Amino acid sequence: MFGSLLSAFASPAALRNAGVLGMNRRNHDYIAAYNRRRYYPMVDDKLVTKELALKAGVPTAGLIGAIRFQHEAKNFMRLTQDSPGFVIKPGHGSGGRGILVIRSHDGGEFRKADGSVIGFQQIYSHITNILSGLYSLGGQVDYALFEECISFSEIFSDFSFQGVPDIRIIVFRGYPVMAMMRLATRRSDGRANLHQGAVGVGLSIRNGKPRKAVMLDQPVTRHPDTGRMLSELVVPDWDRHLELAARCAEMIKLGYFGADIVNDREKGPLLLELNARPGLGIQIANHAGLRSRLELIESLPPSAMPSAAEKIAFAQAHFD
Amino acid sequence: MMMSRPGKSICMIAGLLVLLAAAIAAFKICVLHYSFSRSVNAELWVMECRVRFMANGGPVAARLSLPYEIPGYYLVVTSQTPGYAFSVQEHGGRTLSVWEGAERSGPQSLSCQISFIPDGGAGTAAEEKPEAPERPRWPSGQKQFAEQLLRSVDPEGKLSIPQFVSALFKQIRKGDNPAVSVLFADKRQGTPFLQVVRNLLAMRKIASREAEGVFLTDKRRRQSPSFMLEVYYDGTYHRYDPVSGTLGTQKDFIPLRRGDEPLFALSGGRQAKLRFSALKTNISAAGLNRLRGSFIEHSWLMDIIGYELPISEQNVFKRLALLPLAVLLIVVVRNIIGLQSMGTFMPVLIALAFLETGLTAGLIAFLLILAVGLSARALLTHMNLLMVPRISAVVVIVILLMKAISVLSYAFGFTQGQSITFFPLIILAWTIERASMVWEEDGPGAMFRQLAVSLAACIPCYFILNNDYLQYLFFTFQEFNLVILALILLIGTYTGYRLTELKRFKPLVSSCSDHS
Repeated sequence: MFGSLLSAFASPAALRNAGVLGMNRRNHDYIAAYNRRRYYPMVDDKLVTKELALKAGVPTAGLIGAIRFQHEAKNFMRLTQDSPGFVIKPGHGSGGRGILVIRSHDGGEFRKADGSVIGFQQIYSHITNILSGLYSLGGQVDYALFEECISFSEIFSDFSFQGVPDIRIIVFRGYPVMAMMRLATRRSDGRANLHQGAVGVGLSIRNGKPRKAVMLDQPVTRHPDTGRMLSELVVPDWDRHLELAARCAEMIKLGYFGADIVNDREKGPLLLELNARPGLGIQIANHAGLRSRLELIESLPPSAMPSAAEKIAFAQAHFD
Repeated sequence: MMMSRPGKSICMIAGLLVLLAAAIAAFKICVLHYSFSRSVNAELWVMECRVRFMANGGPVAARLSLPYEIPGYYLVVTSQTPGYAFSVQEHGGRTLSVWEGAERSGPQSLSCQISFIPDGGAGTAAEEKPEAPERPRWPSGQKQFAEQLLRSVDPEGKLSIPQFVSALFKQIRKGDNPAVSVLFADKRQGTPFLQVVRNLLAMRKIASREAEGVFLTDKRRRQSPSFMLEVYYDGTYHRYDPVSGTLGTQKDFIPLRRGDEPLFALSGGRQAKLRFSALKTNISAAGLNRLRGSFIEHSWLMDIIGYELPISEQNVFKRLALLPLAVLLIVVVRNIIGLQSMGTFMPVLIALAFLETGLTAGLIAFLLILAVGLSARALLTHMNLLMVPRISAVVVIVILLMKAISVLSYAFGFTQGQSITFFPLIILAWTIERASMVWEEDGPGAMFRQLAVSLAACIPCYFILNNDYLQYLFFTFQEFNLVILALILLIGTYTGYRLTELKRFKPLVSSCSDHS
């Protein structure tokens, strides 16, 4: 009994040997050391991220507009009348909270991603909730961001239960170090967050091919809802994903962050959002430790690889 | 899980903090005689001294002279004598208690309390070897009687000092020696008697001194001061009872005076009689620390330690004294074990409330408020309220709920229900808000898990905060908080794995887990 309990734990030495990055070290040696607090608004405020991306030529979903004040909320239809579909997001949201996806609308009827139809009132109160800070970090007053709807590639539809699958790439000092695809499940309520029960599929930095997959910290081989073998996942245009992630490092001043990328049918990879505190579950999805990769990059002199292309080439050569 | 790569400066700061704490604690133990042990209830003797005399009709001044310190004890004098101005002065290592009154006549009574505070075993200083006594001057014609008496006590001059002293007392007590009647004619007791004895000893070059004191025992009520003869030999003074002439082993005898300065002096009155009654009381270690502390001249030291605050404020600090320890527990739970609670310090605050309500009653009330609050919050969700009004509504609901619990428990005869008001209202409201958010976003499972962790952290916090010994220790030795600060700083640099991560990342090191 006790033995089996003990065998559920790995020894610290074994984790060290596997190069696993723990939460304390991530916070202390990477986030605190490489991410200066004053640059956090660049990733925590989606409008700021978007403007920076626009300036740097990083493709993102098209911006429709923003609603900042309660009295503007009732006018949201004026904002969205020319867009076939749209997404409402809290400007300071995190973890996919408070995101409402409207695929199409006609008059007063709005069709959500899951096919259900809602009316003006529901959208109005959703905007009200966003403005009151329901979804923002620390409950601060927020604004509602309107983006164009992403027409995400059909190739992933078998691999995801509702929701948009996205690709998280962890970037350290401009080098893409680890990647995974996050697939929504029934358990995660259509959201692509690992801790809510989404499936994470580790992707090889070299070629974007699936490595291992994880759900709620346990290895899985099939998507729990669609039943598709996760090893059959193919990400097109892999190198463009890496380029996008590496360019994000140039546009924001954070040394360690996660770039969330979605694949649009027409526009290809688009930057969804950036995260200054990317989770560690990606290591389980990849069956590989982050720490050894980060330490390899730390051992390089800062001027070793001046260009993003060189950094990507280095990462592809060293990180599977 | 080793402490790896901690910042050197942080290690140094932590080391300095620990050294500082150790230094302060050492000072308290060695100089102030504080004790780690709370269970030892020290004995504290309080002796009441009552003086009766007849006043002559003019101004009265009375002075009681006590040593500041006697081996094993400090002496503290307090007095409430109506009609007299009382003051305590220190002079030449002695405490002078002075009563002053104007225009008194008739019988008067003065009193004071002398507290004998154990000094925590500070050793007695070694007695200095006295100089050989001077050749005594006898009143005319007495010298030959003295020489005759000595001859009859020790004809051959071969007795050792103790033998000589006891033989001398034997002779004096027998009283059939005519020399004794001459020498002690009107000097049967007190100082005059002892002076003759000392003169006799001085003729043999034996050093001695007179001591006046009291017996520190419950058995003797209203005792008058007793005189003792202290004879120096074998490197120390030996105390003899002048009445019986026996070598005193009375450990309870406390000498209050040696030498010429009188124990009590009176002007403006006559026929003064001193009576002492001793009373033994027990005192807590903390009380003893306080009394000992009052002997330290730098009273700002005591101010810092917190003893000099009014009692009510002190109690606040007693509560606060253990908070750092509880906070350290939270740090360990989060950064070493790696469990997420609902709100970082919520468990500590709830544990503080449990102190007032008691653990069981507190837990029941907490879960009750949480359950009803969550249901109320679920109703509010459907109303689509703005955030601040929504939380405010929860606050109001929680207040009403507390009131209801109080009233109900009162009606059913449970008095604990009243203490429910000690729950931190705003924290409760936020806990409800957070719990309902977690429920909505991550499901009820995640909420119950976080709640369980919070309560699991809360209960040890409660036991820490409620521990009397820890409270004594951390209140008396507040510098231990510096050690806690050092530990927290060190944990702040701990970059090793958390306990939960050993389980979480297990799949990364067990490649064979797929087959098993």
